[in-house]
Amino acid sequence: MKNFEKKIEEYHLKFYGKVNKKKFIDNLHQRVHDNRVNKYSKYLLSLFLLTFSVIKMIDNKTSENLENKLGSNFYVESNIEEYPDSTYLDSLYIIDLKETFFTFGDIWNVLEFLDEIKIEEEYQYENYNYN
Amino acid sequence: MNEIDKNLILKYQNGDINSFNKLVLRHLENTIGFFFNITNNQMEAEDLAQDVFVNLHKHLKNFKFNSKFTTYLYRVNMNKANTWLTKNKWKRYLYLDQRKDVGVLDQSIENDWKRKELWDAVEKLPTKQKQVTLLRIAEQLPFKIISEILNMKTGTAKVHFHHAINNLKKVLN
Repeated sequence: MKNFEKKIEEYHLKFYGKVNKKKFIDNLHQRVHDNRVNKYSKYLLSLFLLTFSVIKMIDNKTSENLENKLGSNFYVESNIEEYPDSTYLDSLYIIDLKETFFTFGDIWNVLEFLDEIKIEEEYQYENYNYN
Repeated sequence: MNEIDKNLILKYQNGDINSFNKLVLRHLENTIGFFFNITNNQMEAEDLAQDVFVNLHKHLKNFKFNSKFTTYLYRVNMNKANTWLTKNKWKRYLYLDQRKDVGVLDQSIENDWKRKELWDAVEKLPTKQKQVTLLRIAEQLPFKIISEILNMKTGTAKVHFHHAINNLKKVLN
């Protein structure tokens, strides 16, 4: 047992090699610098990936919401159900417009009659002194 | 703790990088020597030593002086050697396989083979036995210091080494 232990201890190598100390120190500091740069690069990359993931996640959620909301290919929400007789009302408006136009013969008077514009206010704006 | 080491570390902690360089130079050959024993290759030993000092550059700033610097350094070296042995297990298998092809061996080459076989066998030992053996064979440290490094009683370190030698004997003979 002791012999074996001694035999193993004989394998111990004494280091007689020469080390270029200046080169070793320079390399060491270069590695420390590289490690620091790598660390910041990793940090920035992680930050970018995180931001990208969050944006992507929000974007997906918004798209899902929009799809759910539309539920079909209609991309403009219609309020036609709130005014079931809107076509009828529109046609009455057109008839009024036509009759008034033929009565007055002047589109501005027609629009004023139908409360679309107020000619007096328009007139005031025309005379407004911009200076 | 060695006062010189302590002063250098304190100065380094206050931002003096030259003190770190001096500390490295004080322990450089010893550290390379330790790894040279395991790797039998100066370049590889220097690389491992550099890893250790890069690690120290980072961690010495928070060194609390609870233990001697040398004890701390031995511990870092031991862990590094342990990792290297595990990493290079397959590489060493390939290297040992080539042994059959060699015809005549002179004594130094024969010893190189034996050294590689030894570290291959050490790698397979249980953790505590491996740690004690690394410090005992590669660093030739007394059991008292080994026990300080590994936070165990001197007797326990001796017992671990005894078991390690028994196991190595079985494998190598």
